[in-house]
Amino acid sequence: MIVFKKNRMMIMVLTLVMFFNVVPMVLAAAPQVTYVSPPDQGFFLQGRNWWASCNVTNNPTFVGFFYGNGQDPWHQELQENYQSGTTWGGNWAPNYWVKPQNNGGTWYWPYTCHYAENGDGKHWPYRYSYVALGNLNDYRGVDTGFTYNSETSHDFINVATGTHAVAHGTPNTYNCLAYSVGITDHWEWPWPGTPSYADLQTYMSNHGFPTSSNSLMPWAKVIYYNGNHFAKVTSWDSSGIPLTIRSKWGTMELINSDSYNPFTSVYGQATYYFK
Amino acid sequence: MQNPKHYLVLLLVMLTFLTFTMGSNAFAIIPEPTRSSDVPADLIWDTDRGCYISQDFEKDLQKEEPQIPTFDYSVIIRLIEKIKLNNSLFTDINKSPLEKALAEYEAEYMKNPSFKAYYDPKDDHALTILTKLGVKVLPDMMERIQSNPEQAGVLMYAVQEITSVKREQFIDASNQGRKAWLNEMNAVMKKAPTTVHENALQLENNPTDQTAVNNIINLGIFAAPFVMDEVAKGNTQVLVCMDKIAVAHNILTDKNIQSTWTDWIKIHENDLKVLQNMVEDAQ
Repeated sequence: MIVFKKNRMMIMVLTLVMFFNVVPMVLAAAPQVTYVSPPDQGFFLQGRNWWASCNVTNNPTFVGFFYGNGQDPWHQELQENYQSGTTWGGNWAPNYWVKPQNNGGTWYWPYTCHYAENGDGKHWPYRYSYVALGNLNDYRGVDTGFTYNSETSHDFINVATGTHAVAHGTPNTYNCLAYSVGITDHWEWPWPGTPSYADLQTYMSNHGFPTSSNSLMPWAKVIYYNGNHFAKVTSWDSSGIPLTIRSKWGTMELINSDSYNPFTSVYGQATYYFK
Repeated sequence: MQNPKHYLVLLLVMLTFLTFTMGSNAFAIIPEPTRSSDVPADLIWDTDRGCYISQDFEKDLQKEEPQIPTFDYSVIIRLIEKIKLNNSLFTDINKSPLEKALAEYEAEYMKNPSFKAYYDPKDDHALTILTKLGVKVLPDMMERIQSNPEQAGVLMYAVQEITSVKREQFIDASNQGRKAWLNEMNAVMKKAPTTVHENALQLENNPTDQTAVNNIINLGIFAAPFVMDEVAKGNTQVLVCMDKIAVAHNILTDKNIQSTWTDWIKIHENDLKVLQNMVEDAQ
């Protein structure tokens, strides 16, 4: 009889413990956010509006959209408004650039994040997104054929790397010359200004391109433009004429171009060829 | 075409045509022309685009795109909470004048990012944000050139502007380059007292001695405390050097060098102390 009473007591205690611990856990529900837009791994131009939205359940008291590289500074881009159903959103008009994280010449995606909170908790799913250093006019001012169909269909290859004025040897950034010889972890410009053809021949020969020409050379792998720019050739026609190139635009992004001589006066004309 | 069957037939014909033409383009294979011996061995024929591409590029492409970072998910929430707490991360609390100027400089840069492959201080109007800080921040700048390689380049240009030390304009911000540059600056500071004294004596004997003038000018603003000593001793001939060094600093006017110089000393007493301390540290 005593054993039975003891068991009954234990069951009652356990039930009470369960009630006071589990029930509040079930009733208290943090917001659950589903990331809807902008799309993952997108390059976003400045000077445009992008729709940022998410679905949120459990009555959020605040929904916001954030952007950053995972380090300070991290920016609140907008406070999202309730749309309908469980949808929250707002117009995102990015107007600044943050330097993406990098390590030994490898560059990483920054993040966008939808964040929601209520009295019971918070939830913050994220995607990989990158805000470009310029607007469309900036890029078309250098290459009139610069293509930008959407955030995921464009001529961008990699993120911009510069923050300060840069000197030869500056780490955690790179430029066109560095890229053309396979360097992505520091800036290369070992001359006080515009190099001579002889300077370029010596430099390129030391970096694995011993043959040069001051006229179009079949199967050229690196091209120098007379506005102090370099590009790698990425494809050739069957007779060796360069078709497309890829180059790092100063402190800006690594970008594809759809012809071998695409630049305006900013970078000038294809002048010297190396292989 | 009153009969709906005709519409259906027309639609089917159009669909067949579209499928055929689109399909034929999508799956078209462009064969490689007979490969000549001129084609470099590392190039492969792209049958979709009908051109040669580099094997290396195909391999490198993935490396060249931004990579997915591995990071602690909770970092984001810590950053968000920090924003919500401060309302802004751009707080100037506890920032030195140089740190504030660097942040301002960076913000200015972002308004006009550079496409150029090399930096020319003459093109950089924002550099004055740093140079206008003047002599008082020189020790902080020199320390940062040593400790912060990413900011070193622009700070080296700023120091050259502030000090007017005559050297080759080319700047190498690599570890080796920074070391060499700092050694060069230290050497200038080290020799400043003796160089000013010896050349001031030369000028006392021969006020038109251009070599003596140049020797002092090459020391830049580091000559100032020692020129002051020479003037205090009564050798005013040496002031002609300061007139030249100080042009960039708008220190002196051509009318009455001596009285302007005396005024400048009074105004820049603290700057002169900073320079004197830097020179003493270099000894």
